[in-house]
Amino acid sequence: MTRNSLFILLLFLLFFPLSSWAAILYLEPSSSGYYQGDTFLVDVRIDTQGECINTVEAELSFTNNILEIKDFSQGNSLLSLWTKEPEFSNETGLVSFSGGIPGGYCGELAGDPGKSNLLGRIIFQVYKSPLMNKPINTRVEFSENSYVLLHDGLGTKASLITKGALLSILSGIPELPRQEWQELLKGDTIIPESFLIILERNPVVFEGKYFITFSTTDKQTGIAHYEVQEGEKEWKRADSPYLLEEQGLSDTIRVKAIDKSGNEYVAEYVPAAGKIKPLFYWIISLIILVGAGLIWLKKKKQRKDSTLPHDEPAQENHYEENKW
Amino acid sequence: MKKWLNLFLIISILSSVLFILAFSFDSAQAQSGVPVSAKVLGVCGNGIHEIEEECDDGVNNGQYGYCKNDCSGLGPRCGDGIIQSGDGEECDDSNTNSGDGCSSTCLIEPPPETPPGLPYPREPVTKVILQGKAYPYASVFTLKDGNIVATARADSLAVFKIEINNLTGGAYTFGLRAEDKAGRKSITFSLTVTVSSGMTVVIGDILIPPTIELEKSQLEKGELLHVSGQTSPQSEISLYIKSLDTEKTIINKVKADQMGDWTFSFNTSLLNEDSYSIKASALSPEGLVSSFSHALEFVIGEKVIVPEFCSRADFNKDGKVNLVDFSILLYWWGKYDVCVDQNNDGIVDLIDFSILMYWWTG
Repeated sequence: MTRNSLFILLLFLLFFPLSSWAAILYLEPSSSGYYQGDTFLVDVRIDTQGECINTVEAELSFTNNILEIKDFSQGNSLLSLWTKEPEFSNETGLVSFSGGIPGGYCGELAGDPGKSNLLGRIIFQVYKSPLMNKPINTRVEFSENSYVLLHDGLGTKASLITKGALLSILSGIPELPRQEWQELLKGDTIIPESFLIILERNPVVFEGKYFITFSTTDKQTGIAHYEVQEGEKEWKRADSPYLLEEQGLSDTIRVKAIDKSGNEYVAEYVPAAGKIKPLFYWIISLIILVGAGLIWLKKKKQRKDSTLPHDEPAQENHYEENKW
Repeated sequence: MKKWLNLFLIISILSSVLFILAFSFDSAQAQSGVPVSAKVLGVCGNGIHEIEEECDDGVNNGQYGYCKNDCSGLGPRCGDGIIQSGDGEECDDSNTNSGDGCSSTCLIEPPPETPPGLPYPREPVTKVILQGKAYPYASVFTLKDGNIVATARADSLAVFKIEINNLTGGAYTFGLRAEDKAGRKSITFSLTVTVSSGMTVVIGDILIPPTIELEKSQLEKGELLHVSGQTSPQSEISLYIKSLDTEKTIINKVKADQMGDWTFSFNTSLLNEDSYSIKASALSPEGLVSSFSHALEFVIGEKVIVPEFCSRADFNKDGKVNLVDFSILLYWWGKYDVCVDQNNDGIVDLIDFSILMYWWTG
C-alpha cells in the first residue's frame, strides 16, 4: 500500500469511527466555581441513549484535602432499590453506591416535563484553609469500578462512558458561604412515600423464622434510615430484611421511614395471629362454657333420675315338676 | 495509475464503512432500543393549553374561578349555576350580570354589609394518568417505583386507562404489565417521568408488550418452533430470533387476530445447532409501538438446557417477583445459593440482582 493510500485510510478511520452505543454516567454541574466553606451539591446522572438498563454500580473519587463529603442524598433517585447504600470516606476520597430499577429504565420519555435521570446527589463542602490563597482546580471522577448492566435478563455489562466534573475553587472566603444542602433540608416538609410492611417466612432465609421486608423512597431530600418497633418496645434502627424478635406474632409491628430532614412516615402491620388471638380465645371460652353447661345439665338429669322410686323387679316363676 | 488506485481505495473504504454502520444500526434496533410510542400527551398545570386539555390555568388549576384540576373544563365559578358558599357566593343565577338580583360576583343584590370571604383554598392535586392498549379483557397492573398501586381491566378493544393519585411530586418510575386470558404475564414495561406538585401528567399511546410462550425449548434441527402469545387486536408482531453464539438476528412478522391472539411456526432447518433467544414487539393498527416482550431461550440440537432451580427470579415460588425475592437476594448477597444464583457463577451479586430486576412483577 502506498503512503498516500495509508494516509487516506487513516483519515477515514478518524472521521468515521466505528463506535457503537454506550451508556453515559455524568455529573452535573460538569464545571462550576466555589469558595472555601461553600456547601454544594453535585448530581450523579445517567444517559442511557435510548438503551434499557436496570442496574448501576458507581464509584467516584475526589480530592480529599480540598473537598469533604458531608452527606449523600438518595432523594428523587431513579434507583428505587439499593444493593449498596451510599457510602463515602473522606480519608480515602471515595464515594460509592449501587442499586437498580425494577422493570428497567430506557431513557427519557418523550415529552417528560422534567429530568428524571438522577441517581443520587453528593453534598460537598470546600475546606477552609489558609494554604488555599489562590484559585485551584479539582476534579471529581468516576473510577473504573463503575459499571451499568443491561435490562436483558442476563445482567450483561453495558458499554460505558463516564464524564466527571471540574470544580474551580476560587480565592477568598465569603461572609455568607453557599449552603445549598441546608436550604434543601429547611425547605423539605414532605414525608416519605407511603409503603407497606410485608411479613414473610422462608426456609432459606433466617432459618425459616419470621421476618419483615419494607422499602420506600423520598422525592425530596431522600431516606435517611428506617426504624422498627415491635409492640411497645423501643424503636430501633433497622434495615430490610429484618428478623422479628417476637416470633409469636403477638405484637403490632411498626416501621418508620425517616428522611434527611426528619419527616416521617409510619407503616403498621397487625399480624394475623395477633388479630385472631382474641377471637381464638373467645371461641375457646365459648366452647368450654357450652361444654361445661352441657355436662352440668347431663349430671343434673342423672341426679334427678336416681331419686325417682324404682319398680320391684318381676319375680321369676319357678315351677317344680311334680314327679310322679 | 496511482491516482485511480487511490480513488478506488477511497470508494471501497467508504462503501465498507457505510455498510458496517448500516448493519450496526439494524443490530442496535434489534437488540434493544425499539422506539416505543408511549409519550407524555400533556401536563395539566403547566399553564399551556395543550391538545388533550380544555383549559389550563397553571398553578391556579382547581381554584375557584379557574380551570379544573384535571384540565377537563372550567371549575367552580360564578355563573355556573351552583352556589359555592365556601368561595363567598351567596347566589348563582348562571350568569355574571348585575342588576338581576344576583350580582356579577354572585352576591345577593344589594351588596352585603360584610365583604365576601376569600376563596376557599383547594388542596393541589398531583396525579398521573396512564392510557393505551394491552390485550382484550386483560388485567393491567400498575407499579409505582416497583410496588403495585393500581389494577384495571382492559376493554374488548384492549383499551385501558389508569389514574394514580396520592403523589407528592418528583421523578416516578411507573411499571405496567398485563396478564392475558391464558394467565401468561407480560414483561413489566417501565416509564420514568417527573410529576410536579399540583400537576396532572397524562401519558398515552402506550402499547403493553405482547405475551410470548414457546411450545418447547429443546428442538431437533428441522423441527418446527411453535411460538404464541397475545397482543392488541390485529397488531403486527415482529419476532427476533437471535443466536446466543454469533449474535446474528433473524426477524419474522406475523399478524394477530381480532382477539389479539398470535401464533407463529418457524422452520428450524434454517438455523444451526445452537442456543437462541426469541422475543417479540408489537405494532398496533393505530400506530402504537410496544417495547420488547420477555426474551425466551431455546436450543436446537443436543445441547442440554441446564434446569434452573428458581427460574425467572421467583425465589420463594409465589408466582411473583417482588420485594420478598429482593430480600432473599440480599440475605444471600456475596454467598452462594443454588436458587438465588441465577447465572450459576457461584456467587450472588449484582448480575443476579439485574436478572431479578428484569423479571420483576411487583
